[in-house]
Amino acid sequence: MRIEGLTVRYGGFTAVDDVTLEIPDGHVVGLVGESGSGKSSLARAVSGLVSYTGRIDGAQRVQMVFQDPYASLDPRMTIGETVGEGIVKRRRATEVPRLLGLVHLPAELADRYPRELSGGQRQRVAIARALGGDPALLVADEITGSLDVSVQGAVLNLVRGLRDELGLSMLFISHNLAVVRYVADTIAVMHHGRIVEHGPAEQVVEEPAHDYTRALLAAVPRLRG
Amino acid sequence: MSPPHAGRAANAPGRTAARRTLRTAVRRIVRFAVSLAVLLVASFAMIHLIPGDPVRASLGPAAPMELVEARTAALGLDRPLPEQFTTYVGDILTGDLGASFLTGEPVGDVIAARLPNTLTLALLATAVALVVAVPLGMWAAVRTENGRNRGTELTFGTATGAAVAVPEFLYSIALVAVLAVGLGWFPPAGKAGPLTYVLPVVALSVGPIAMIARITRVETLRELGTDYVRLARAKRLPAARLHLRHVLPNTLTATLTMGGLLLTSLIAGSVLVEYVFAWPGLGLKIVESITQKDYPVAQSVILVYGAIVLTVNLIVDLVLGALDPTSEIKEVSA
Amino acid sequence: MRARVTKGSRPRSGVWRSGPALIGGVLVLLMAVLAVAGPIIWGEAAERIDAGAILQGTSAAHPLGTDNLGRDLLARVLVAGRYSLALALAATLIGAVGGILLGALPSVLPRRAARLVTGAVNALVAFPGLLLAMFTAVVAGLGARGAVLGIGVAIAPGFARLTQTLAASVAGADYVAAARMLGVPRRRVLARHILPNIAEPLILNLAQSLGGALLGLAGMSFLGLGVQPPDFDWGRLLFDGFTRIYVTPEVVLGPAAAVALAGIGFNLLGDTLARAAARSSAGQRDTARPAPPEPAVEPDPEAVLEVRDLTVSFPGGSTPVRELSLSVAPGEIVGLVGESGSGKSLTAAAVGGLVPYPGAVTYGRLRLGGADVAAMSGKELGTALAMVFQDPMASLNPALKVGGQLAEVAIVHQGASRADARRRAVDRLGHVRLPDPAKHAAQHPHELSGGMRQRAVIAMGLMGTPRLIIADEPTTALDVTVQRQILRLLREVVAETGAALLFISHDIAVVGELCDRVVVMYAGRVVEELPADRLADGAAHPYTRALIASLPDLDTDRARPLAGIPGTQPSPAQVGAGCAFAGRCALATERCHTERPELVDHGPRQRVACWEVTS
Repeated sequence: MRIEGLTVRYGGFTAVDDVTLEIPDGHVVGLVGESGSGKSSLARAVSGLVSYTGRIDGAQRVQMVFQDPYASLDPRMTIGETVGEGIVKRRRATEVPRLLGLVHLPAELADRYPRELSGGQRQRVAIARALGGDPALLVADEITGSLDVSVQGAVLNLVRGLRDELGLSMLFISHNLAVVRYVADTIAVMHHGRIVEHGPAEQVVEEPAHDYTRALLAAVPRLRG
Repeated sequence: MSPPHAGRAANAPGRTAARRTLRTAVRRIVRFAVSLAVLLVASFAMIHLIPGDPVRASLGPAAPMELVEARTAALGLDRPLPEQFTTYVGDILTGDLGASFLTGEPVGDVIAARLPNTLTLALLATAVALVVAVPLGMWAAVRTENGRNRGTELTFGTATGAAVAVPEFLYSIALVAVLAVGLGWFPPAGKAGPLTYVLPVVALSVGPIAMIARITRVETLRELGTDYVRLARAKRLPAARLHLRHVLPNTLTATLTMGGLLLTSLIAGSVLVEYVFAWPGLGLKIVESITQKDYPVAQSVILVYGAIVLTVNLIVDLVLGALDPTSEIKEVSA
Repeated sequence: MRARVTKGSRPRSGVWRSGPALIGGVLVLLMAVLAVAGPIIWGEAAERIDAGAILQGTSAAHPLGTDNLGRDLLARVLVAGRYSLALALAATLIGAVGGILLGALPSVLPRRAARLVTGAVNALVAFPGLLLAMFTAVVAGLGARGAVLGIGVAIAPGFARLTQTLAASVAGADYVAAARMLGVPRRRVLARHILPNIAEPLILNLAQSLGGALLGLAGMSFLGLGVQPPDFDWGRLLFDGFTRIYVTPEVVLGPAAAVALAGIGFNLLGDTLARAAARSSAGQRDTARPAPPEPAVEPDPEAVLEVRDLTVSFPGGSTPVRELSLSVAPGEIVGLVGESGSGKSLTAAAVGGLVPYPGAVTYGRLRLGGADVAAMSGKELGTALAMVFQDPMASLNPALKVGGQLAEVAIVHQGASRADARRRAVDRLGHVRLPDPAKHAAQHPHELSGGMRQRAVIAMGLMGTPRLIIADEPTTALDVTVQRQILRLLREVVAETGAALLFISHDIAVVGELCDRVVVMYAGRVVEELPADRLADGAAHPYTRALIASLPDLDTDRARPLAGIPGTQPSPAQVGAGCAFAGRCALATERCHTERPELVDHGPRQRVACWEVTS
């Protein structure tokens, strides 16, 4: 899939400014940037949730996973109903347990309500729901942003596992460079609505070409010793 | 919805903020003008929506046909509708609000004589309500913060809940029955001297006091939970300074918005209170004109009432927009 | 030993058992019974004409007097209940159905028409209901039908607006966006997501509107614009009685009381329903008082902050902080790290005396700068302790200018003049490297960026002479590049002022980078204390090690799965007798589950609470 000359405006404010980006099949493209860089607007444009100008080719069947696992599940629907939303009725009974299995959740959770689940479990449910739409592209917008570190690892492993097992293409958005580096094949760095650098993950982290990327890298906290 | 947008707004320098205030003000004025136009059409339509012949209805079945026809012609009700409408709007723009079916008195004069009496009542009641309710609500909030003093909370909730639920005309009747007829402390009706103001103002302000006190309490509780109040507490500021300087200003937006809305509902509520106290205001006139089927008067009084309400709302909006440095930010990020 | 203990609250009984709820429920029930039974029981008495007892006041035969045909007024009040309530119900239904349709209309109309409807609703909401009702009543004709229509029209705009707001907020929810992306048809989104999530508040509003309609109709009838004879409702009885108020005031008592009680009943019930709906997700709480802590060991004269056996508990057996001990030396930067729910922020709040009611704080010792905190005056505490919170957007009062907020500590606690305090504020703002401090001091907080605000909050702490700065997640809401600047500033402030810093964070990498010493919390207790430079390879506790392992950094091997910790942290109410981490720990033995390990020395400047590591 390919994004070309994508621009998103809200009133007089340009959130995404003429962005061109390619997401090859089966690849995870990581998108990093700080708040206000336009990365979430780009995600919403790709998912068809905001209007934009420019071209997005090959964006059939885009599904999105949101940042806040507490706001992205309907509190009045069971987990099974949520996961089965995009699936035709007769296949739901077999598909829901399979999808829950894909995200390493026990099938018994299907009868529970979101309030009975932890943040990490909810985020897995949101991923399972997105997978139920048989996505050609999965957009993950800060999906570990509100999770604890000890839970984050498992969700990141899940994301990588899904790419390897299902050959899923993914646009993985985060403000955390270390997280993006871990899951993504290539990294695009966004600043003031533009992509200032895009390259293989190791290369962007080890030999950054743009000053802003260098500033971001220098700011990442590290353990001493 | 868009985080970048809200973030940019929060960082905006003062110049764009001022421009945004101005833009909001212009939008509100346009909205006011449109509402006013709708009101004008509605008041014009009223007399034509009445089933049957309004002139016949007001003069009674015994009135001779000639009188009805003459009155209809005098009022222009026999002309085509578009012509009637342009005449109506033209008359109103030149200050001619028509004349009473019954007495022939110009409605403009009636309104000019009575409007001040109604506005005085409503303004006095609003002032009393704010002065009593804001301290009461703050006190209740401070006492019941985080669920302490459940007794106070329950009493406050029940008392204000009950006070809000009793309409102003019942307070009026009770005050007349007890303080005027029973004890003879106050005159029961009419407008003559300061004492006659007491009962109507009290009757009008009890409900608003309860309502504003509740809102002030909720707003104050929310303020008490904010980080900057926690920080002010960490600074060990004296309670008075904490509450008056840090909490009060932030609750005022909501309180004053409510106060503005209440003023308009008080103007309407005065209809019933004026009726009970035979207060020579516009409210009493509206009731008289409707029961007597004096439609030109009813039509114009409702128009004037509506225009006042819209104007008060516009003023409240504009004043709040200018007063509160954060109001447009809330609006943008909401 | 001193312990500050706040009073425990009464058990929070169910909403339905509270006074107002009971009153409201009983009143509404009475009204319902009256509506059904009233005309059956007193119908005949209400219509019995007695020429010998016309216009009487109170008497034994007629407690509330009689009307102009000698009919008993008490009976008439009791009978009128059915008609009054039925009219109110009709008006409410008209208003609700009309309003909900009007409110739902914009979501199916084309954009332009939708905006028109929204605008019309907004204009209508601004008009007082009584005016709308009168207008409608004039057009529809005097009488019960006109009044019901009028009140219905008056109620409708409120319903329309509520429907619009609710629908808009639900339609903007992430789960609706997800459903749309899954190709769920619009009709189904409306039926499955939007309607169920807005139904509850709408039904609630229905209950409250019923009371309003009843009062509105009573008002219309009282003005003579509603029910006309020979029919009668409470408002009409009031209308008739009011003309006699100078002679026999008791005749208004019956209808007035009926209207008032009905209004109060519906309103209190509506409040209760609203509160029950708001609270349905919140848990119940019971009383619990913390046990007094054990006597403590000798005080440490060197420490800036010394905490012994600090416990924070809430009614209901929830104890988020358990017998925590901690000390901070002058000029030292100590990191308090843990995941959400570990109790780290409540520890900070307890030290600052900011634990919200009904939380109860007990401790064996709490000393700041060598003095007992409980014995310190507000002035001493206000200048010796500085606090910085997570969200710089929320930490400054939006209504006050930045400079004024800084200056007040100097004015209140140090007796500085207004001008001196202001000069000092500008000086401190310059100290935290805020560009153009004089200009920013004269601005409101919303004119500053997030990083600038956090600098201003730190400057506020420097207005006094802080011995200790407590920073609770001060960089979590900031971008990494701004975070870097704030961390550097905190380090400079500590070096310059000699104050100690207690830095609370969930991010072990940030803590490891900034701090001298790290204290790791889990389920309300300290599980490990160690020098920050030993975090990477000297951490001993399995939890600390797992936390570090699960944190991806720029050198993490991408070929291998990230470590995680299975399971979840026990909630503050469910911490068992043994090691709280045992359930998630790969090394746990039988003993770990039953017996809690104490924090003991483990090598130089390191202490660990773990059986497997220390024994």
